[in-house]
Amino acid sequence: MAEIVIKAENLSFFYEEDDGAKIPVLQNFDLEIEKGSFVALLGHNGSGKSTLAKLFNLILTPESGNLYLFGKRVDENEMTDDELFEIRRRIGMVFQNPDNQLVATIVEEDVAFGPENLGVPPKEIRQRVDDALDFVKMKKFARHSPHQLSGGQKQRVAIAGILACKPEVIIFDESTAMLDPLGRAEVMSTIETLNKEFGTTIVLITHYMEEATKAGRVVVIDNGKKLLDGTPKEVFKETKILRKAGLDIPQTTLLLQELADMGYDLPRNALTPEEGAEALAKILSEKEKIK
Amino acid sequence: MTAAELKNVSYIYSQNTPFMKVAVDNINITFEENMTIGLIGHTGSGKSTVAQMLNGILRPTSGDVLIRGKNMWESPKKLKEFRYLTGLVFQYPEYQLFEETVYKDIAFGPKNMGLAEEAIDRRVREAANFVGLSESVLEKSPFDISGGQKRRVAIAGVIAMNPKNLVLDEPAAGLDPRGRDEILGRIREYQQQTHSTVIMISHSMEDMALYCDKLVVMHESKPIMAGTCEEVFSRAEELEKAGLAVPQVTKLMMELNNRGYNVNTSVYTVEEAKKELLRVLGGEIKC
Amino acid sequence: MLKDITLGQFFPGNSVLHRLDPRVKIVICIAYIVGIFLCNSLAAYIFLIAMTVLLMLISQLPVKTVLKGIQPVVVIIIFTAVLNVFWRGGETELFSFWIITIYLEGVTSAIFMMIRIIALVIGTCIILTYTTSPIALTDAIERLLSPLRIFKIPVHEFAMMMTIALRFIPTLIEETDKIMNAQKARGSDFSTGSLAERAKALVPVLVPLFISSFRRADELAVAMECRCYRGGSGRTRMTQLHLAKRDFFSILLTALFIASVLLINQYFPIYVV
Repeated sequence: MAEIVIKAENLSFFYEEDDGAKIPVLQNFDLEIEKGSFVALLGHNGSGKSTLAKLFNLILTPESGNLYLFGKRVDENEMTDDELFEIRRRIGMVFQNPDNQLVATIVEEDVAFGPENLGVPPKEIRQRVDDALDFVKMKKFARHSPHQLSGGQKQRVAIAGILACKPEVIIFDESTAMLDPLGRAEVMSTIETLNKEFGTTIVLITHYMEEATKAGRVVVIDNGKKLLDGTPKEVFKETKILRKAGLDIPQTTLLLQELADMGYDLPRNALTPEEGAEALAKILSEKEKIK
Repeated sequence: MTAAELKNVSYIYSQNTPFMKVAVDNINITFEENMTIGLIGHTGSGKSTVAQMLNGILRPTSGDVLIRGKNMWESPKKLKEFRYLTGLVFQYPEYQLFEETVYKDIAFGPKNMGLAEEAIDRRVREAANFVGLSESVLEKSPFDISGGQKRRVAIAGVIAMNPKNLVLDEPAAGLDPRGRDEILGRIREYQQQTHSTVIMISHSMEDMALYCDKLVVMHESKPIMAGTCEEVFSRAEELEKAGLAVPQVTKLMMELNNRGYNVNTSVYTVEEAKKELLRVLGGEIKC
Repeated sequence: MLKDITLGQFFPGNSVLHRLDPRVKIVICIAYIVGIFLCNSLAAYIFLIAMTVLLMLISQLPVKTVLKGIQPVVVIIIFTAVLNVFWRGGETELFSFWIITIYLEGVTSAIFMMIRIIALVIGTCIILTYTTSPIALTDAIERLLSPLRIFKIPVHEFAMMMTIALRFIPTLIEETDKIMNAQKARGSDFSTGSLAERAKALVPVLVPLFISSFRRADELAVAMECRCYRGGSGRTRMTQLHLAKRDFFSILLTALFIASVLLINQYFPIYVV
């Protein structure tokens, strides 16, 4: 079995209102994330998925429960600053708004920001920056200013900035929510390559089902609780539960399920139009044979 | 009468500078009255420029903008009246909220119009009702409510001005599926109840197909298609060539067509696709 | 539109001036300003104009762009000139009407004042802002001032603030544009009415702008922490600044420039001020 990089055990978190009332955001949450895996956390806004990400990155502290990062139990009180920053280096995070995470006025200077903070020698920073920009296909824009870039390009620069810190895990906190379809496609393909080529562990927080279908494993969260956990095919089969959690279901899945309900021999877990057409073509050709 | 009409309209950004960019290139679009129209296209296709020209925020470099038959730029002094005629809700409108209470924020537009206190009160409550904000929210600060609710407050702020035409730029951007369905559904209901004209700008074909009567597709500064959803999706292949994502079921039908099965590809909802497939399958139920 | 502001803008290029070490450029710029104020003879001013034109040529910037840099200070230039022409006394009377008397000294000093201001603006624009990226500039200031750290002056933090401000200026300008348009669509009027009315009309713009800035600041702070930012200690930099031959050479030229001004003042003393 692969190494577990992130392990949440009975994790709870409350949000405190102005009047002191505590509103549960996460309740007794259990989750294990394997090294090299690509996990999508799916849920509507306010389901607790972003809170979970902030707990993993030690921006928030859990109310109760245990959090293990890279096999070690995290105890904020006993942690030195150096240990804290080492964990933040190993678990990178890309946020929603591409504008609010770029620090410098020049793309390559921004990518260098992380390694500079880590005290990496100048020559190596240069190398890392070049490699990272190359990877996200933004080398052409190295000397550009971030405000000249499109949303998708900015987000790719943000990814390069995280890559330059050489993390083992990258959490994408709704990183595509503010992008147009083109930008979303760019960012998603970058994420997929990262996982496939570098074996970087990916935690993708999203409410877009098309994006979740790209992951190896989908965890559906609602009201701070785990609702479903499995491969995309296993999860998207559960249309009723997904609907209840305020999520979309791929049109293909819906269509084939409705036909399957009428007695046609069709899979209940088709995700893409190509898959759907394949299955439908099969029964159509059988019908022709009978004729 | 048409709700709005663009006649030979061009818009060029930063004209006569190295950054010159033609956003809209000599276009003609007619928006009919009393319906919901979807204006679809990529970022940079010119759709947002069109929206801002309909409200008089941008003045076309050349050509005429007619609102309800009247030329908007004939006398720039009357521009304000045209702005009241066509309400415009910008992208991420929640970032424009500023008042102490939700009520006051929705009342900002009507107040600027110089309406009497009672009329303002009536309009605020009507608008809040249209977007589904409860009475109790009205007295809250617009900064203490959720993102989805903020969006509704901002839309209500424009609806309260009773515009004959309502233009919304990406009203569902960044919302989760539940929030998106709610807001688009509310807008649809508003249109049907008030018989006004609603123009929604989006890059989601799937959303627009569900909530609009007609679609206008923009690509590279020009409209390339206009018509009912069936008409537009019957040309799905052209849409794909323009790099626009067609709804999954449309794509599925195209795939079946490619495999040699004669199915109608102009469907865009699961219901229609099911009907069409049952037709080819002969409708018999195998058990 | 707000986006068209050009003062303080960087124009990428590859001239010698672009390639100079930004620290050296700051030093040169200060020396150049000192040089401007040392000029006090007609010949020295002519020399100054020649040098400024030379700088412009070296920078390879379009003349139009450089001249555009003067635009924001035109009012100041005219004001100083008028002040000098009408209020400066002197011996040679040129023209007298009613209570106004204009002296030759007034006119000449007005002209030289104008030359000074124009040379000052163009010079700093060419040497610093137009040919140096803001980040290089902040970086240079941080390094030049770094000795002050021993007096517990937070030089790095100051530079970081500058960098972030520079980074977000275009973003905030764009945002202001957007909010203004949104409020215009709701019937706000920014261009008519009394001063008080116009100021009041800005409230619906400023409140959302502040709120959004706070939100941005908050998100940026979290993002920076996630990228292991913890102030200046233990930090390295990707770009190392090394003084090249051209840097030493340009310092030498600057010294020559000041020396020339002084010599010209001395040997061609047609005093004007």
